Amino acid sequence: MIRLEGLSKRFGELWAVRDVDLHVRPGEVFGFLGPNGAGKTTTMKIMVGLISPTSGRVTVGGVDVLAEPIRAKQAIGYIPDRPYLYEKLSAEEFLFFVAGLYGGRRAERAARADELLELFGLRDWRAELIESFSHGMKQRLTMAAALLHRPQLLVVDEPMVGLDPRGAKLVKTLFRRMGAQAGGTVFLSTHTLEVAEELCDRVAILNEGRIVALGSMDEIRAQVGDQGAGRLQELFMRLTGGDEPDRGADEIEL
Amino acid sequence: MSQSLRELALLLGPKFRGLFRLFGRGELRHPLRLLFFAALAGLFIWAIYAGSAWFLHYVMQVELVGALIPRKLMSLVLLILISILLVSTTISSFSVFFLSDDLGLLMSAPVPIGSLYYARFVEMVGYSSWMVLLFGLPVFLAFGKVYAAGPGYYLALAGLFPALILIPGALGSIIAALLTRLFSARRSRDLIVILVVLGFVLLYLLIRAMKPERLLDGDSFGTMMEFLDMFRAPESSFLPTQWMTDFLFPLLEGRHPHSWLPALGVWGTAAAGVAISGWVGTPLYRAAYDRAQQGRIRAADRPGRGRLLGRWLDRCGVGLTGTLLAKELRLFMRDTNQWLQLVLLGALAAVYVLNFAYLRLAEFSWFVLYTVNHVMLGLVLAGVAVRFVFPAVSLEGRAWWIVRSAPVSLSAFLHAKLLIHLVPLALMGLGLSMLSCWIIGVPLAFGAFSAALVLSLSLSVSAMGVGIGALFPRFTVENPAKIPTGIGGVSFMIASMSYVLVFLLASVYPTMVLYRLPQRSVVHPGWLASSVGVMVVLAVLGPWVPMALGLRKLGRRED
Repeated sequence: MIRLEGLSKRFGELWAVRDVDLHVRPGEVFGFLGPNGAGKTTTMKIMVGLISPTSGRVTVGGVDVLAEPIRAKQAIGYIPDRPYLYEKLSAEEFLFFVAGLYGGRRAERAARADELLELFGLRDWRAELIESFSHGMKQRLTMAAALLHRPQLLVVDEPMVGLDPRGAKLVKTLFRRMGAQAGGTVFLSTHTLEVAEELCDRVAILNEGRIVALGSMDEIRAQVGDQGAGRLQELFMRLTGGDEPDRGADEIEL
Repeated sequence: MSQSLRELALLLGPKFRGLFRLFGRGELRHPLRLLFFAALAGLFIWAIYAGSAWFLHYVMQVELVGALIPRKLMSLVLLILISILLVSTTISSFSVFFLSDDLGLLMSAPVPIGSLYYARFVEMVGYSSWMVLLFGLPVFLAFGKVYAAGPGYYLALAGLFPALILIPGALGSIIAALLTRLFSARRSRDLIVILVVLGFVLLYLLIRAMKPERLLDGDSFGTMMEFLDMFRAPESSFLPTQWMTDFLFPLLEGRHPHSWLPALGVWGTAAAGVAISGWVGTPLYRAAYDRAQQGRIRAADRPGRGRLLGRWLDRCGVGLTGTLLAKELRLFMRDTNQWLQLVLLGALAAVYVLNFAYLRLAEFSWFVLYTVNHVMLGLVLAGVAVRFVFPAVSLEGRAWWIVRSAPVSLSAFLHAKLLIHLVPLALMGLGLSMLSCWIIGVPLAFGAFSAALVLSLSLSVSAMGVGIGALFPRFTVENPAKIPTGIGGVSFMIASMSYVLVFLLASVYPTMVLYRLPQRSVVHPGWLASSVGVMVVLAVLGPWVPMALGLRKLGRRED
């Protein structure tokens, strides 16, 4: 579904992403992990056509994102980490606007918008202006908008930020169903390692713009050479050079 | 340093550092850009100074009353300044005291509410008065020059001006604090903005009806009293502006003031105002801030501005342009700062048309008025476009990612934006052109020629607005009125006004040919062909070049 080939991105002197090669299969829920500033968001923005790579290639469903952005974007639903929306639109108007950008018949759009507002618990808020929404509500509305055109690939940057436990459970169920039943692909970045462990078929760990580990949990444990390392958090710390994060926390006076 | 002063300095520190960084890392970091803006500001200040000095010289030469007018003028200018400051400080008070993003952090910190209130007061006064001060002071410097005043006048000016700023600042903050007892801060601010705009429109129309151009012709006044009435300002011994005039004027004429009482009165009022502001505002601050946070606005409770039209457009489902249009209409109609501009625009249109009625009565030839009309119309189109068309791309704001990640080509997006903004601009231009042609009484062929010129200018100016707006997008600026205030807006104004003047210059010969057609005058085919050629080239390149440049730049943006 997604193929990244020799993908690199440089901002001035800084290489945010360097020589990333990755293949994500249809039906997979794929986790993209890494510390802050590792290059996750940059990679995802290149995948959805928000920024161009310095070198390399991205294809989605066999379509080159750089060469045929319009065709590629038809297949993608994108949920960014910060849900900046048009604050003076109501939830329903916003969904209609997004549906208009993706095309399709009006009656179909209205029915789909209705269904998604219900699913994300926003039906009672459909006529409210977005400016009155909490962060979590905006996040849920962004998710509804991303699913509006039934994308084959969902690219999600930090899906759980701002969601209450009920919203988080709903999202997990949706992602699992999207991969298992609908044959769609979910590519998500997260700092919540439990979410990755629970949801993802495979994960890639990114550090300083490069992939330092790739595979299922068992495969990564094998790569690290420590079959005994039980939890992803320990593996993550070892792979990203953050073995002793608690030292300062132990010493500082509180 | 006392504890309160230390707290005040601590709270204001980040604001000052942010201000200095504007030059170091912000939009003005490039020396050339800084030089350009400094030169532009300097030019404005010099123009105000020179214009005021010329006008003072002029009125002082009026027989018998010449010596009386400057004093009345000073009082009037002070009153206008203090009124502008009062409006500006009241509107800023809502934003600075109640709606700033950093208030959450500060309110939760163990900062005494009084220190926070006064820190916000200083910020609000500085924020809302620097521009008035910068462009108001040259008028008083012109007084000093014309009267060849000594250092005493300038020292008194420097001593009294801070008090002049503090008085409306205190009053504005008190009004804001009291209004937030009744409405939320956002609603109060909207209410004040609506009242101010309506008041401004009314004042503008009243001044226009007084025909101020008569000042340039002393003979046009029936009596001396009528002439003096033009300078009538509310004079009252209770007004600080009157006290300030009473103190400054003797110094201007090289005499000592009769007493220090007027100066003490001005400073006493300022000090009392600041104290009362704190006394009234501090106890209300916490509750008013809480009220401002209760921003749960039910759309159903709001007026249906943009709702019906948007729904109709949703039903029509007319592709990308319709989708964007429905969104833009809704956002425009729900932003008080935006739709209120239409009221101002309506007043501008009325004054524009009225001007031609006055000028027609002044017995100018219709051909002169017809030519002037095109120059004025071109400049009006550029002026309206900088406020409404130039911000078109930037108004996507931080939600820009939505359009960027959707399967929509940037070219289609920019052309949809162009179409959405071209139609109203062209309709306004056509309306003004047809109305003024009718008032001037031009022949039908000239009316048709005028319509063609205006349509072509509207297309080019709109494309320049969208294109240059895409070249210099400001997605993080939240107030639409501030979008054109950067380098992009200035570039657009220079480009569009130059384009309008060159295009109209090229149209002069063809218009002359049309005018002389009945007299069968000699036509130089070479001149005609080159003029028409230049017009055609400009009509094609005018819209095309900025759109292409904007498209390229927007495509390369990385956010």
